Amino acid sequence: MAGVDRPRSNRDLRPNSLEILTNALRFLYNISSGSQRIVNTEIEMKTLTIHLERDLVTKAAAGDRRAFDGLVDQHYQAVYAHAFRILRNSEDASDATQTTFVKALRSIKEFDVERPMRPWLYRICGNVCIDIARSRHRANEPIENHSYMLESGDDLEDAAEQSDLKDKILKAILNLPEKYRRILILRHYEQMAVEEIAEVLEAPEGTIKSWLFRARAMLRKELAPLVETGLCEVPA
Amino acid sequence: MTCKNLQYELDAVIDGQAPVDALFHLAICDGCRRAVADLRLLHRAAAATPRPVAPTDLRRRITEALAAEL
Repeated sequence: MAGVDRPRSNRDLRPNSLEILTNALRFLYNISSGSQRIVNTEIEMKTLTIHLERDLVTKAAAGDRRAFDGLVDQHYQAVYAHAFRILRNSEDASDATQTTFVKALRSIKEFDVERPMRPWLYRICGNVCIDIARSRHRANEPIENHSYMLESGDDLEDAAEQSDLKDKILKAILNLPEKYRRILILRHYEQMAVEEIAEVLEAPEGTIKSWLFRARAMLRKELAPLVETGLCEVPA
Repeated sequence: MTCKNLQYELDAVIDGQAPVDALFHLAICDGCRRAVADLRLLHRAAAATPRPVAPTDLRRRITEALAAEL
């Protein structure tokens, strides 16, 4: 009838939220010949996460700022942690994180939605960190001088010896040249696979393996004085 | 596979994706087995290191920086 408003509908929901939920439910439930199958394995959940991210990236690339905000929410803590491990300074890491997402917003249209976002963000972040480090000349500041915010709920039952070992390893890694420091951070602190690191650093996997080999050789030298005093094992 | 070649496959070994010839080599080489054990120690120690947590105002700062891009 003319003049009668339609009742409010699901349009009131954010379209991307409803679409994401619908796709998630479709993915989890496979209805076939009257039977239902719930898929609930780690692989499927990881695939679901990728699917949801791809949805956000597609929308963000089309200009949906809320979708981009969703991506920021998903990744900013990880980007900050990565920046902090490279720069060893909270304020610099915050600046690097901000700049990373500004640069990501500017180039999101060119991003291949079929690829995971985190390696791309880490690549941007790494380059931003290099610029910041060069402009502020802070390569040799000891880590004790920086505010190091720990996650709440740390396992305080770790022996002091284990904590000391981790500190020594971290300090040794942080003393390495930037290229080798970065690759060890990506491999061991970010727990990235070689192929993911290759994507972040835009280098062939064979090159990444060579760099890891050299980085570990340098790390052995850094840790050698500690090995001689029996304070730690030398990594491979 | 030689010890030198295995050095380039250490990451595949600790990720559970070692090529078969690497596994055969590890079965007979004490030195390389120690190298794998040491790398696992490093990998686990690094993974257990507390992750830096962003300052509470960082999310707001990012929002403001992005808003300036409009």
